[in-house]
Amino acid sequence: MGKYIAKRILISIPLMIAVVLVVFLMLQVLPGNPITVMMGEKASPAVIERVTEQMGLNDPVMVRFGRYILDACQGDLGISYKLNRPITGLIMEAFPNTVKLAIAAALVAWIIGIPAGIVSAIRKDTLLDRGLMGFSLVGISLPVFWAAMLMQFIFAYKLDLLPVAGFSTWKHLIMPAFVLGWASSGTIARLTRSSLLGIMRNDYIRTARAKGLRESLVVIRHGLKNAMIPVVTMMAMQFASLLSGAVLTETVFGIGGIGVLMVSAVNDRDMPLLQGSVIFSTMIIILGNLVADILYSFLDPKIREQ
Amino acid sequence: MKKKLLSLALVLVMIMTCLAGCGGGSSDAGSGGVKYDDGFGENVLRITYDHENESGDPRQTTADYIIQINIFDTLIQMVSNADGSTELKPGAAESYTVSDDGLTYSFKLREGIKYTNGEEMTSDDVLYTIDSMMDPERATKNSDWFTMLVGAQDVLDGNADTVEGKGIIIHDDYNFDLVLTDSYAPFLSVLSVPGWSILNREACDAADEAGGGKTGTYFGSEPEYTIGSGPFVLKEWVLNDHIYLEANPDYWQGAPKIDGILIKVVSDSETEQMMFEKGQTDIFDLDNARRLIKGYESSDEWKDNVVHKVTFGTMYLTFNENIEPFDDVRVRKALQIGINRQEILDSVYEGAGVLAKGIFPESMVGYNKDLPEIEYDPEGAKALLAEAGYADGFEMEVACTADEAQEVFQILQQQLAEYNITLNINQMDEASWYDIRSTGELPMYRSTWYGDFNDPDNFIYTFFSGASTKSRSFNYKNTDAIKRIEAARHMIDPDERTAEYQELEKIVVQDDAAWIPLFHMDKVRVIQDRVKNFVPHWAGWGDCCYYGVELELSGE
Repeated sequence: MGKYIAKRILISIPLMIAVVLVVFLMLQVLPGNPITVMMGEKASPAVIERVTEQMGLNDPVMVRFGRYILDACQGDLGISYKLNRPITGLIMEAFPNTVKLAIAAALVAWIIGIPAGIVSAIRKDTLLDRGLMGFSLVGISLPVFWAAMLMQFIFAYKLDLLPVAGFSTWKHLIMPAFVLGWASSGTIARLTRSSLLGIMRNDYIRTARAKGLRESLVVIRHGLKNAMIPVVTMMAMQFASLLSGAVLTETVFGIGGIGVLMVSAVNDRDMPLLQGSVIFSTMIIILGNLVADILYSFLDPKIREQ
Repeated sequence: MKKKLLSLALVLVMIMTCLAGCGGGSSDAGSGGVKYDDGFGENVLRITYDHENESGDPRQTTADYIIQINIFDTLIQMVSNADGSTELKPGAAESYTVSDDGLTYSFKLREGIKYTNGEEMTSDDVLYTIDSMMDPERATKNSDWFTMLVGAQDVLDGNADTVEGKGIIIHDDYNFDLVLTDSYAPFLSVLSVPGWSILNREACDAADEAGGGKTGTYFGSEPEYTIGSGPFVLKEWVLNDHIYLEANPDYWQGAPKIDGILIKVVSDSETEQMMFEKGQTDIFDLDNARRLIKGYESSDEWKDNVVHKVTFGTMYLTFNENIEPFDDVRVRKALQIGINRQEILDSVYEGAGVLAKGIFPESMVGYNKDLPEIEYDPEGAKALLAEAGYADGFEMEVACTADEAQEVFQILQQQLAEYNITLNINQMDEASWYDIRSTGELPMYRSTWYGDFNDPDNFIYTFFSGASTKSRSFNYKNTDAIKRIEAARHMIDPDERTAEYQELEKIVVQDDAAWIPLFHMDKVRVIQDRVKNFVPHWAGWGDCCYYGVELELSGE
């Protein structure tokens, strides 16, 4: 088991280094001087030239990459061109908001998705099954920004039940968490349903029933436990994805998370900030996958043995 | 099918019920349905920005000044009069005199101006402001406002440590002279720009020490270290959420009437609209929601609360005179009169602006009311094109980034087709756009220049001086006019200067048709009833000083 986890961690390290290199090089090949965008109409050519030199942007790419890696290893991802603040600090300031949103959204997704999937599987081909699967399908299909705006309009603007935007109280969390969670719950519900239906056709389920076990025990103890293996993996990956920033939801609800940080970096051509936040988000995804792999091995002994 | 519809209805009912049960409603903090759920009090002005502000350090931004304008003082202030004109008033400097040769400006600081760390503003703070702005280790962005001082460029080039004794001569704590390398008539106006905010040496040194030296970033971002002397104090900065500026009770002109300014970051304009209409914000800047202007203007609820301010800026189209056929003045003139600017203003900008006659906005000092209008004259344009040998038209290229310039050019495409001119739109990313422009090779583009201070030099020199005309891809060929533009900034007599700029504007726009003035845009805001004494920034910027604003509270 320990060997398996160590192997997965070791595989992740070169992947992370490759990500840093690719992100860095991709942003370097973009044409133009980002300082001109940062300073806009008001800066004279002399100031642009001086600031470009002082920020070390005239150095060769590999020199800058070496410097970046060395600094990054010490937790220094550079200074944001626009905000003139250390990027590590900016990410650490934005990340807790993303974490809160991700946890709330994941809870919504799991609380809705898993029971919906189980009930659908048990009541296969009934009106309830179709209703729940329809609900899931709507969640998956609705564009997140549209669902967000619709909810804002109904619950904040018209019904006056919730705040329109912001992120200072728990009430601010309800709509964004529901919008994001609904989208994720659909996937979970459908996966739970199909997985459980597949499992329920196995011989050992028939054996359990033949032994006279109650149907609820059959479903929970023998069916669900095995059906959850792919679902848990999906949940871990979805959670990692939520942690890497929900750009549209954060934008519509005015939440200062990683997603908004990345969008502002793109808009402002703030290369160090974009680089730092993209690398951070990618790391989160890699870590999420690593956790999913480890969870998988816990749930499924066959994986450990392999 | 019926079953599916039933399922869908069931789902919607579930969502509505679930969420309706969760919401407890916001707590009322004011009357008239105004609700605040942000944790700040009722006597706080709430505004929104669609982006996070740049640093609050005047040395580190050329774009966002909402913090600087409200937490620092400048030596001179530019203020709006009721008739829309502007006026220079003493700020931190109580009085000043100018030498006859226009080279030496003698100032007397007000006594008793306190920074919020308890330090009093003295001449040494002015020296520090200049030296630190020119410090080559700091990579400052606003140094252009200081290079006219004797010795400033030497400091920036690393050839000297200070301008003391050269660009600034300190007599005592309150009296000092600023000395220029050459007479520069707009200098007093320049002193009113946010880049000239007077910083406190002790506060900045403390921020440098705590934040890792001169390249540290504490000053301007960490409230504890961002010390100013203005009407408000930077109290809180939560990234991409809000900035809170708290009233400074010890401000030398008296404490503000409001408790503070809450600047919320809301990048989605629909969200901004809903927040404003629910009373959760006080001022809604319609720059990014121009589609709503007509709705507010025609709404019984809001029409009296719409505030217009013609900006101190000009939107324009350029000609690159290095590219044929724009080297021919007849072609330039034909396009100038052959474009229906009103159609563009109405279609793209909801009519929120006025057609520009020349380079300078109406509130410019020495504005020429007699400059002839540029009338839309398609027949005249056709005749000029025929005279220039282009009766059958030609093909031309324009450059733009992914913004509303594309819409402007799409309308131009249709308009110019009438003259058999084929217009190709070359969309590029912003960095490439700036890079190509700086080499003088960008074809026609659309841009807007917003003035920093009220003087014609800030406009005409920016486009048509020898150094700028290439770097802004005009490649203006009238060398005599260029020489006169460069000389005009050094003229001392105000009447002579005004006459010279009026003449130069006519030469550039009317005689040489070197650019196409489009509009002076309107800055449109809608404000809540409770906001009193709101005065837009004199130049129509989004960043305003809210010192004079009062809020009607629920108990009043």
